[in-house]
Parts: sequence; C-alpha cells; structure tokens
Amino acid sequence: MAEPAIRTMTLDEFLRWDDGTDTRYELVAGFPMAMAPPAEAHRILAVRLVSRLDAALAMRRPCNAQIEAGVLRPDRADTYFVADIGVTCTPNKRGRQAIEEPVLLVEILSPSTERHDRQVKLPAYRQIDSVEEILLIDSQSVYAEILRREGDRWISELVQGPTVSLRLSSVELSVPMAELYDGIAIEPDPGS
Amino acid sequence: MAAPAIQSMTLDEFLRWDDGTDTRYELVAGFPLAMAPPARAHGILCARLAGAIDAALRARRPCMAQTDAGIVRPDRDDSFFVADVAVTCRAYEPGEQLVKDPILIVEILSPRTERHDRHVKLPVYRQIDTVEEILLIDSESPYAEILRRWGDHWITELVQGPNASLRLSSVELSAPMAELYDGIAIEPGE
Repeated sequence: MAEPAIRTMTLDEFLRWDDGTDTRYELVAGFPMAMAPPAEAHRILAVRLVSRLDAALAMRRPCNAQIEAGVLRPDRADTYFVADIGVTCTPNKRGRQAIEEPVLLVEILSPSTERHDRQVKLPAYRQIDSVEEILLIDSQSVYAEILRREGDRWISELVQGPTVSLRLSSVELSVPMAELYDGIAIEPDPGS
Repeated sequence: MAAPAIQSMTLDEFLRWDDGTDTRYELVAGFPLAMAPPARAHGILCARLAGAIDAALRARRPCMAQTDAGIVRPDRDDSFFVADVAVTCRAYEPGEQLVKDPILIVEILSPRTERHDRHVKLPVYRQIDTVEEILLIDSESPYAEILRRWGDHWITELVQGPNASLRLSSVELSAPMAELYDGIAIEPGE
C-alpha cells in the first residue's frame, strides 16, 4: 500500500510520485489533493467536447486538444492542476507531462468541484499568458461560461439553453448546445 | 400552519403571500423556493458591505444600499429574487417591495447557495439594463469577483487575498479586503 499523501511535495517529486492506486491528484501549494472520480455526465461531455475541439484543429496541427491536461502556475512551482481539457499549439514532446502554452482550458463543472474550479484553478489559469479562453461548462444543466481575454481584461459570456451555440474563437469552433448535451440527463431548468 | 408552498404562483400572488413563518422565499419560474438561513459569516459580511456601500453613497442621495433586495426579471413576471445587497438611485416610495433600477447587486457566496447564485440569479441580473456591476463575494475566504458592464460585454475582475482592495466604480467605493473580512474566520488560504 502506498503511503498517505499528507506531507508537502515539490512539483518535481509530485510528477515522479505514484501512490500505487488509480487515484488522480492535483498538487495545490505543495499538497497533493485527490480528485473525485467524475460522474458519467462529466465523462460524456468531456468526450463530446474534446472530439469536436480536436477535429476543429485538424487543419492547424501541431495544435491539439488533450484530456486531463496538466497545468502549471506561471508564478510558482508547487502547484500542478489537471484541467479537463486543454488545447495547445506547441508540438508534443516525448515524456512531457504538463501542457505547454495552453490557448484554451476547459473545466466541466460538477456541484462538488465547481468551487475549487472557480476559486482556486480559474485565477491561476487567468495568469497564464498564452491562455485566450477558459470554458466552464456545466455537467448538470445546459450552461456554459466563456472567459475570453481581451487586452488586459477578461470578458465573461454566458451560453445557456439548448437553442444556442457555443462559440470558441481560440479554436474556431461553433457547436449547438443541444448537440453537446444530447442524451445527457440534466436538471430541470428553473429559469426557462 | 401555512399551506405547503408547492403550487405555482404569479409574481403578484407571491408578493402578497405570507406562509405564516419567518422563512424567506424566492420565486423561480412560478415556484416559491425557501432560502436557507444564512451562516453567521454571511450576515457579518453583509452588514459590513451594506454599511460601507451606503456610507459611500451619502453624498449621492437618494442613492442608497439595501439588504435583502427584491429583484425581478426584466423579461418575465414569474420570478422574484432576493439579492443580499442592492443599490438604486431611485427615491424610495412607501410600500415598495422591489428595487427599481438597481445599479449594483451583491451576492454573498456560501457553498450551498453559490450554484444557485451563479447559474440562476446571475444571468438574470446581467439582463437588467440599469445594472452596472455585480459583486460576488465569498463568505469563507477573501475572494470576490466583480462583473462590470463594458459596452455590450461583461468583464470580470478577481479580487483575492487580504492585501487586495475591493473597488466598485458604480458606488465609488474602495475597501481593503482585510477590513471587510476582519474577524471573520476564513478558510486557510494557499
């Protein structure tokens, strides 16, 4: 059995660390934090999104979309986040763990992780110079929020309901929300 | 005992309705939803913010800050939200239940209500033409998010940590986060 993950680690130790289980971890300020196993809706939405993102990039290789993208904070070496999806145009290099120069980062929101995504990961993502867009997309209702860099500012755009389309300028993708959420059991929308 | 609040209501019925208890409700798409009693940190932060904002408006009466502000959707009359704090510059009229023409709306975030605030209330607040800023401020850590109208867009600004200052242009307020959170037990930060 692996030792419990309670002591702090450097990023380097973390990247070489194996707890002997299939549990996924993030490193937050030196502390490894176990990630909850994602719900089914989360995984369906992840596949649906990443496949469309990667297809939209087929003409722009080496740009690619990847799942469970390791993201480093630009300002400190004690943190390693795992984004649900990341897009980069930097060619893949053998053995590399973190994503380099992401242009788009995607987090699929679940009630148990939304707070961590928004309050801990999002501020770090905004500090990464190469990031043009951050997509937060809900796994329980037809709701997405795009944060788009515009000079020094971040614009927030809401995409709600099955009749609208999600448009990501960083990857030139436009996809109807109805198509993304097709077959995913969502909560009744109190707002419509 | 009051009848259970399960049948749908119009906004008008809702505003005249009294369930016989102190429970506060919001009306969401015709259905009254009970609001959880807020935690103490929520109440402290709410009083502190409303006080600071109202003081900043002293020279600009009739502008004023109010707590538990009733907000309606501009596009439909089956919803009534209660914002933690709102600011309007419209003079108060006796008997008014709603905040008319709010320029600033504040929601204090708690883990249990954050999702409702963000996914249900925030999209509505953004549709109100008079709203210039929306402040989301956390009751458990020194974290705030300001949404500010910028032409056709909304820009978002993060304010994090005790050394930062919260700046609201709609009410010309600048308040150190350390002051707002003074005495509130917060989550250990990074």
